[in-house]
Amino acid sequence: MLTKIKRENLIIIYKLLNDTLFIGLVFFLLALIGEGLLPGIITFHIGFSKIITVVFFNLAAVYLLANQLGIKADNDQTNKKTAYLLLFIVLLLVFNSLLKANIFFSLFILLVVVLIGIFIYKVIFEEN
Amino acid sequence: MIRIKKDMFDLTKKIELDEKNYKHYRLFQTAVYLLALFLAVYLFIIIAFPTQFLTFSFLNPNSTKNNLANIRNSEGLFPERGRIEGTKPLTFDASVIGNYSTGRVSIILSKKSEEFVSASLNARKSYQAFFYPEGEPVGFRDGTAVKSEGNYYLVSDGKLKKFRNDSILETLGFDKNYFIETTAEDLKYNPKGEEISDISTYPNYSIFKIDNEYYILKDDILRKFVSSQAYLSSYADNQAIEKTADFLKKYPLSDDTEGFADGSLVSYGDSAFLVSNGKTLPIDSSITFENMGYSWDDLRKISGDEMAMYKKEKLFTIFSPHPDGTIFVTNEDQKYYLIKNNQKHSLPSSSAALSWSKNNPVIVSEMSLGIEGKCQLKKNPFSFRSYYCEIPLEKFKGLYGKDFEFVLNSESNIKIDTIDTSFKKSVTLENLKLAITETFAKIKGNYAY
Repeated sequence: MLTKIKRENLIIIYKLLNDTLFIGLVFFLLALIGEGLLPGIITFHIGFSKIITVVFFNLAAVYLLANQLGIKADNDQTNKKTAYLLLFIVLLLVFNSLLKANIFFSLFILLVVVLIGIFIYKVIFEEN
Repeated sequence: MIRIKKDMFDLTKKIELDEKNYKHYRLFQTAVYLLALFLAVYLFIIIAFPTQFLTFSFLNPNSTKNNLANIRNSEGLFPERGRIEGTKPLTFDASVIGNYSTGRVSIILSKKSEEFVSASLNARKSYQAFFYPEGEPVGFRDGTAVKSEGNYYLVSDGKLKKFRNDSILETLGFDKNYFIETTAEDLKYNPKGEEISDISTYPNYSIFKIDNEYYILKDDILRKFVSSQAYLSSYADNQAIEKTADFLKKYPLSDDTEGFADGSLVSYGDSAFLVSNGKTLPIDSSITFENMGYSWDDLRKISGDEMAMYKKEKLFTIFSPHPDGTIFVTNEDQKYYLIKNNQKHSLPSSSAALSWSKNNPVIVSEMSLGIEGKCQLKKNPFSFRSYYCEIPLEKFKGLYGKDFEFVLNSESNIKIDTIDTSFKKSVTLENLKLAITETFAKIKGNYAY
């Protein structure tokens, strides 16, 4: 079916899907922060599963279209500033979820999360 | 002047299009971002101005989705299969947290039902238990030692038993200083019993302290309190008569222990419980706790031994009525009420209320029983057999309580399938300010230790 659509139109759809993916991820991140601050404020109205499903289908559509159009992901394109910002938010959310626990226990868990994160990153992304 | 680059906000700059198609893309992109903005505004509105839905299905009366409470006919009984005889009212309660602007009630009739000829709906706001019918006034609790006009009494077996003279009182070991001073008017709600004149036996509900443990005499059997704080939830420390261990030989000792006063709030681990009729009701959340009008200061930390004496009951949620032992006080004229057996009983004074529960009483508005909202049921033009009406809730603002009591009056023999209610907040600046204040208060509460 996709072959019947003009390549230019497919590129427009691909670019738009990237925009909707960005919007979906911003919504998801804001929802996570909102839930972290006040549990239930978002999930009472809209479940995370719904947001994740939408983002997942969007991502799948981007992947399929990229294959169809022969677009390859640029591995050097990683935006380090955004990555560090996201990492900082993730650590804040983890720390926030442990706030009721002992402060030293929370810091210890946070340290463990960081170490696990670093090792997973090394295993997946670093070349031999 | 801000200069906008041609490819600004383009997340896929490297994938190029000719000028005409790029213009198309930018047009669609603007539409997508506008849609996202509308979606964000819509989500903000439903979060800041939420609508609360409550329902009850007579087709599935045991469904967990049913959250309208205490559905009853004029006899106070649950109307089986939703059948209501003409002229007899149907009453139900809806529990909602927060201030809402309008309440809408929809009644969906069964296929076999008569149509409504004329039907109206009345609404009041308070706590479910405060809507209970008023029973006989009650006086002081068993075991309370009171004095009035120079006479000394012990409330025993529900009766007011007078000490014949001071010498009997002192010989039995009661200390005059610890009797609660009250008026003859307050004492009239406890019927008079025979005088206490025998120094060889103690009247029922006498309280003793033996080796720092508390006991109460019931039917000539001593019952030990499970702990000091269980005792203190019912009686004052200094009221107990000090005895030595030899005293335990005088009366048989019961295997059963005495627990906390009905209506007590206890915490075990991270959970809070209500104690009532020998059972504990686990409170489902801090939101329920606060919206029931309870005070955190009344929460007593208890041990495993204290907890073990109780059978755990089902969850106490925002939809549950206050249990037996709850004390209500009206904010207008400080009138006290005790909840017992689905009735509210007036209490003569604060000292009588204190004899039943040492907790802070739950504040209610006496006038809330008299303030009513009313609406006439209309046929829903978009649905067969469905009738609805809307009641503005502004007049209930500021009244204590979280429950709306709805009374449906009709002249037809009806059979209801479903009752749906929805509570809406108007999108106003005032409600927005309130929503923001409440959200910040909740966040603050969430981070408070």
